[in-house]
Amino acid sequence: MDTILIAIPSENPGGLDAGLGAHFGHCDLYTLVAVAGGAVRDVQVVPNVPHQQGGCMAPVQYLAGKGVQQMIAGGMGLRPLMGFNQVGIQVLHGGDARTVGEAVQAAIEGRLVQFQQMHTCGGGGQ
Amino acid sequence: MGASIVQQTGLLLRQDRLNGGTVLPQRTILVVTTRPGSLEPFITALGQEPGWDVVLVDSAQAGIDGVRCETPALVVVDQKVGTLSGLDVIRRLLPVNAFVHTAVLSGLDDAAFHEQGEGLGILAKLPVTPGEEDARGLLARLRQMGGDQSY
Repeated sequence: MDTILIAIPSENPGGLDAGLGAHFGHCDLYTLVAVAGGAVRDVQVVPNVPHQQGGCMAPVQYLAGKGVQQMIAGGMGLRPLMGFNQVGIQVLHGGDARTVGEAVQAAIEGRLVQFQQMHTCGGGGQ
Repeated sequence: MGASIVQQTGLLLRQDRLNGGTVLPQRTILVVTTRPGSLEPFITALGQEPGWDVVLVDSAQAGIDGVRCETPALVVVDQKVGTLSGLDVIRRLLPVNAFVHTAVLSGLDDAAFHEQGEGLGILAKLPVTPGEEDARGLLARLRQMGGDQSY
């Protein structure tokens, strides 16, 4: 049974009941959810990595290094979106999910759309 | 001086590469501008840093080709390149390689730049005609980001 590791930007304290972080780069932490056979198998919480202007690839590399295969985000800039695509992490738009658990369930049920350039923040979305 | 400046235009850069003519080291700064004369103090200062090569190209497409083929550590884009703004050039570079750091010359004030450049992850906004100090400051920021490491 294949396991998919999904990263979700989260509000404190993380976990399935935590609120969805509004923006992947500025969230407090990430909840990493392992999903197999349409069910949640494992939940871990990891801190975000501090980064400065121009350093938005740091979280991308950090999550890629943890073996993340999917990311669910409500907000993201063009550069990290392209970065996730280039390291092979599929990005899904969180839609109207309010909690990490709701977002993961929506992903399991195939209700989330691919995060596209039109979803990106600010000038990057033009 | 440990660096050299390679000035090429458009497809000529690619032809030289294909012919095995110019061989670039891994640590390259790509400058996309149609006015290298105005930027000479800045470009020269970049090139004075040991271990760096500065490559000049004069079109957005040549910049995209350079990012695709050379994996520079940093791309500096003029405020306008042909019909494109510097920010638009960066938008076209990111789908090729989002991991390359970028800087852009811009006359926008900070608020407008933040608004128009949001999400592009730009390392630095530079004056429209940057000088030696701007070059040194830019390289210092690149070092802070670990961008002086080879890919």
